[in-house]
Amino acid sequence: MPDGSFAHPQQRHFNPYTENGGTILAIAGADFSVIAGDTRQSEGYSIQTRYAPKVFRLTDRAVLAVNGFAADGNMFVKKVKQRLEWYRHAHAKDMPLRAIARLIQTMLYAQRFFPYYVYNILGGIEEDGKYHTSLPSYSTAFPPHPLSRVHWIKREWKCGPKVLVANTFRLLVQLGSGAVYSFDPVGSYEREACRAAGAAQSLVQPFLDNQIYFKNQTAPAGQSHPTHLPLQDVLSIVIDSFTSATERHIEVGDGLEMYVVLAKGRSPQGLESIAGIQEVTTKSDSDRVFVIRRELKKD
Amino acid sequence: MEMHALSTGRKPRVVTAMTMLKQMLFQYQGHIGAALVLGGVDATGPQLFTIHPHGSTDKLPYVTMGSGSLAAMAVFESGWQPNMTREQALELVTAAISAGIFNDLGSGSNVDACVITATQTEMLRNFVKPNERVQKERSYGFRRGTTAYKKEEIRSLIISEDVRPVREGEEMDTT
Repeated sequence: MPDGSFAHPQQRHFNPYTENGGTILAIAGADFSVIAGDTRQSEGYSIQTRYAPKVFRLTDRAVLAVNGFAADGNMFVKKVKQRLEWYRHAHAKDMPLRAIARLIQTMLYAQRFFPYYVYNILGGIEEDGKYHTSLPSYSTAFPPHPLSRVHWIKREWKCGPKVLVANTFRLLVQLGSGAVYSFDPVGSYEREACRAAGAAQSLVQPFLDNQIYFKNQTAPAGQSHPTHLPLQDVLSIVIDSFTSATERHIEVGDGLEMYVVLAKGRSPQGLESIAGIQEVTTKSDSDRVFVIRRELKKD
Repeated sequence: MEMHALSTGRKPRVVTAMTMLKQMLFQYQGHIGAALVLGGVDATGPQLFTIHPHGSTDKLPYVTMGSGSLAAMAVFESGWQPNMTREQALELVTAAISAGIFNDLGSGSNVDACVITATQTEMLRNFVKPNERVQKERSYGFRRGTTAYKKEEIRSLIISEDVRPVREGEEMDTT
């Protein structure tokens, strides 16, 4: 026993980490992302609070969900936000999503030998300059696009002494694309279409693999599975993921917060009919961020 | 208990049940991981016991057991009074279990209650249901042919047979 003497070797133990339960997930669409998390914070068999947000708006195009040790999570989000503010002051613009992802990697790896005990999922809109010459095929309700523009292409050919010039044009639509980045506690990261993390990851990820990636589902003969689902379907899958996780995992419940990030120019059609939806965008003429809150079972 | 009642020729008492339970649990040295609340009414009146997995017992006017026992006991400590009516007691017990359901992660779903009087026992299964499931947003039926398969083999399980009656007019009555 530790008696204060030096007669025997003694060992003391201090564990600086705890696990605070809860679950987060994110799904990328063609021109939107959904990032969600429950709001229960627990330790052991006790609920510390029924409302502790795990999902945070970083910029008008980036949302970060953090799960694991809540104290580390809150501190980490605080520091990421601080770095993004410094970037704004230095460059007079918001940091692009892929740059935020790399920033998060370096910030996590900086703590390689005393890690932030958190799993991060970053969701939002990637400005990867994808041009669509036509509207995405998954949605028939898509309105004519306000960002469409005429792109002139000048072609020249040398034909002996003469130079032939041809001007052609294409109607181009530039849309940011939905993106999800997931991280481990020391900064390994990957861009994915969907990811669940936290207490109920083992319940939710297989469901997402089946419903988003259509794993273990063979398509009807002559048809193929869609690469991206429409927003309404994604929201339904997110809600069902959390109501199911709440039924089967004791650390999940109380409340659900879903952030929706829409690419600039993407119509918010269908969103305004959702009860209690709230826009949290800070600038006009940018990608837009919305929050949807739902109740979950409290037992 | 039935054997005991038969051999003594008396109605068994609650302490007898308690003693038999604690002796069994003690014999198993806690390897039977059961924590019990025992209640009943006998010749000596109504009484409550708790029995721990190692066989120790308590006899108290209000008792709780399990992971939600602290939440439930907190309600008992603030709301219990002597000689409560059936309605008062049911309300208090429901509030105590509800405290466990909502505040203890190891407890959940519905409240079961049981009212024991000298003449009868009334089990109130799912007495309160404060945690009904909500409707899912989507239905998750799978199209026929969703599951991939590597081979298909159809076997006939019908055995053909010839039936020859031995004698005319002596068939078995199958009506």
